[in-house]
Amino acid sequence: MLLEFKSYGRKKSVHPFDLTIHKGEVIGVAGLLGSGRTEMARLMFGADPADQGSVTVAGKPTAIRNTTDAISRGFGFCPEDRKAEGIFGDLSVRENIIIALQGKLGWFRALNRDEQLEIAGKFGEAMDIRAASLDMPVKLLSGGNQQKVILSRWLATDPAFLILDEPTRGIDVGAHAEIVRTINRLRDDGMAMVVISSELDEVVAYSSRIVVMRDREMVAELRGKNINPGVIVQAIANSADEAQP
Amino acid sequence: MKRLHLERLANPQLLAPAGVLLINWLLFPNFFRITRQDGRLFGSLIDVLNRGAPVAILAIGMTGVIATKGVDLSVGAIMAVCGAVAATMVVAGYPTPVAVIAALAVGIACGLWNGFLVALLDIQPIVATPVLMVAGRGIAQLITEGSIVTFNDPTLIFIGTGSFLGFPMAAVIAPALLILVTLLVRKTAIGLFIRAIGVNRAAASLAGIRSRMLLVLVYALSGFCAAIAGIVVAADIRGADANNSGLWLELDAIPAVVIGGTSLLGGRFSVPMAVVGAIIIRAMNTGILMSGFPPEFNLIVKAGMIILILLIQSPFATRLFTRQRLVPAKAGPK
Repeated sequence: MLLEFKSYGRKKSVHPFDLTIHKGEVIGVAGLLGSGRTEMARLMFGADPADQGSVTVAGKPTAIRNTTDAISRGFGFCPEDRKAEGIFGDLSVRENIIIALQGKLGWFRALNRDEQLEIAGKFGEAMDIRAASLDMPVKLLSGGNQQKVILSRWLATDPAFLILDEPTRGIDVGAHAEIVRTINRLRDDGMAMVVISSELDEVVAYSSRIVVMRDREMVAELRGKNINPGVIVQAIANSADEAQP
Repeated sequence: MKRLHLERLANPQLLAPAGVLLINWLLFPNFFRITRQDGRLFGSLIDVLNRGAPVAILAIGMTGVIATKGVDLSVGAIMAVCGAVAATMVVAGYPTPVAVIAALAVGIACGLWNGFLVALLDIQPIVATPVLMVAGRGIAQLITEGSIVTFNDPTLIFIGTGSFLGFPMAAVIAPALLILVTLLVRKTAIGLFIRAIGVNRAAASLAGIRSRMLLVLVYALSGFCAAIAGIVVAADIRGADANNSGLWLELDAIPAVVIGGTSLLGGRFSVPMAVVGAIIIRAMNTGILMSGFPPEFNLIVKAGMIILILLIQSPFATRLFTRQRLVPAKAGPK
């Protein structure tokens, strides 16, 4: 067991929920728009701190008061609104990739240009980022490539737990496939992930378990043969009791 | 890579000062003549450096603030407060170093107040910093008790009118501060983080950058620089004038930063170029004064210069210049 959230919640945002996440597990999060999926992700990442419940990381009780705490414990978060919260449009592809790692290293251990280029080149290649140059502003890239840049940013921090909020929304088919491939590859390498997605077929394909959100509450946790679009839709629509297997 | 360097050399921020200096030289062939007298250097160029120093010092601090998409309108008032603190303390008999350190501490405290309003209370800088812009003059008047506090402390006067290796002290302090701050932003990750906050503060926080702390830091640095400028100005006139010290100087410091190529939209800043900007403004000033035009022309020429620089930085001009270069780049989706 890698992570355990116990009656973790925040008033006026997300009702307390319990969630255990193991290494190499992908937890799919389903639910309608406004059901509290993004709030749950922000809560787990410390972007909005929890005001109740507890979290243990690798068996140790810990406090995640802000994103810096979360990142230092090996968390990463790709937000839903790529443009508003993800990319630094006027910064270069290189800087966009190394920035979370640099944030983790702190103010005084600055990566020099060569180190930055090496890291950005390595992850850019692994993610198949199509950019004319690593020094071009990231805003000139396509949406799919920007999303790969943000994923690369977190992979560069060598995370143990990644939260992806709608990672495949609004991007081209090629990048979409690449991101799904990456999720599968990371899971097989032992990374724990929470993936929020509205595309049920896709979530069903890579998730080990699926939790369903409704009215800012976790109403169901689906396993095994219950991981199929029909059951998920039912869980989204029905009360919690009926959806439980 | 080579092309990048050529572009840098040809950029408007370096051509502009060269142009201003060239015009000055054409109008006054003596402009570059520097003479040495009693171990001190004299000449128009030295004068530009000396008189331009307070604005250059303000611009050093202002650069960080503007790079985070903020603005600090209180620096002129902070100058008055810190000049008043230093003057009244030496008059009251405190040793000069104590008075100077106290004035610097007051400047930092003023900056922390601005940082508190902007970073922790999330008040827009253009609303938050005028609080101190107005209150600062009042505080300075309270400290000086409404009069101009004059002093005869030789050490403090030396900061204003002394010289080091022939250069006036002000023209020594500004470059020293410039080197210090440039090293701070270039040798650490602070420069990158400041740019990141300027471009997208929400994304910066999600990427684990302590954006509140950094914002407080840039405003504190701006207050610190204003304190230095305030001490230099007070030492120069051997007195603290609460009403006029640093009056409207923020309106020179901000254009200096912008002329230096720091983007008001975040993402791009340069501390050395902000100092170059301050020197351009001062050189234009000196040129206009030397040519016998009334000083009022200064304001109009300055305004024209700012419009020109902003035009060059505008999205329209950027599109115009970059269109050709973007075509061969394979930036689109596969």
